[in-house]
Amino acid sequence: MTNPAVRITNPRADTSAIKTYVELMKLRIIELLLITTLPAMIAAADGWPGWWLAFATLFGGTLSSAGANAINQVIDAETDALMGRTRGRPLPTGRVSKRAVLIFGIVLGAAGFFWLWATTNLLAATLSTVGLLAYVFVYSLLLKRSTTQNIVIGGAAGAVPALVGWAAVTNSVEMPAWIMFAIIFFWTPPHFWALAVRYRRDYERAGIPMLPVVVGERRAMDHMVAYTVALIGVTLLLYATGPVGWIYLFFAATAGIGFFLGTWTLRDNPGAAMRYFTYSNVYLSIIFTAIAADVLVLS
Amino acid sequence: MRDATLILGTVLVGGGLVMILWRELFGAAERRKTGAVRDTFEVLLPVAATVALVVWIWVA
Repeated sequence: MTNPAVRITNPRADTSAIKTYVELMKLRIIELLLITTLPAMIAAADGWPGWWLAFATLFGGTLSSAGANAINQVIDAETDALMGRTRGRPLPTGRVSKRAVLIFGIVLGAAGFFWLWATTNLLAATLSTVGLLAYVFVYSLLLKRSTTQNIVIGGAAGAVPALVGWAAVTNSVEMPAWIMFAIIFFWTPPHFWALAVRYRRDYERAGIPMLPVVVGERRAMDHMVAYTVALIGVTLLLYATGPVGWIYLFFAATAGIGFFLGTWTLRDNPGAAMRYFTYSNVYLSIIFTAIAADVLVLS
Repeated sequence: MRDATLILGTVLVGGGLVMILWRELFGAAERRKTGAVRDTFEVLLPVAATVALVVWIWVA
């Protein structure tokens, strides 16, 4: 049995525990979720939504997403251990118990709900929790190991932060919020299938039926082209419906052409999958930064 | 300009959805892991939701 006094006097152990729990939150993924939340708030407010509301929403979103990521790692502990990319995570390496991570995730998720409810509104809090539950139950438990559609439908959970941002400002979810949701939704499959192309053997070993594993790289990339075409169309629809102007249109069109060319050329050069994966992150950041910049400059 | 973008956006979304449907339902039978009914539902659900969004945009 560990003596608590010893633990307290061992700063390295404490630092290591904190590091482990921070790692479980997967803050780098959350960063991308937050990049989509703030521009949605700016568009909803037709200007800067205010520092407090921005902080409160981003903090609540971080708690919910971190909770989802932690719980997901409990579900994926066995498969993570089989994959080179994930076997260094806290659960496969035995640095922390499943029970502790599950409690950590639930506490974070609950804290996210109550924080958002207290500081924004019930709709934003509920949407955020729906995103968490969809990620855990629909994506991780229902789809991930059973269908190549896993990341298509499961990707909806990752698109929820745009709805949360809009709802935090307006206490409603209007059409532009759903278009932003659709942008993230159609961006997700090519983004993750690029990762699956790079780590195809890992997914194969873990028995996760990512599309490139099941139908092969070339055919998966043809699917990616289809989703990219729809994605570019959806980004244009946001301009057509009015909340953003020419600044957004310029960046959406140019970045969209770049993204399409990237997807198209990837078909003949699967070795560039990780470069494409990185660019897909940049692409989404460009789209949502352009939304924010457009509203702030032109409003 | 916004009207032209609406038409172009709709054409691209429609084209993308047709390609998705074609590839998912007719192009790669081996990827169907969950049985025909559930698989068809999983493919059609996001497509139907997107069509509903585009119709909503046009009606509005």
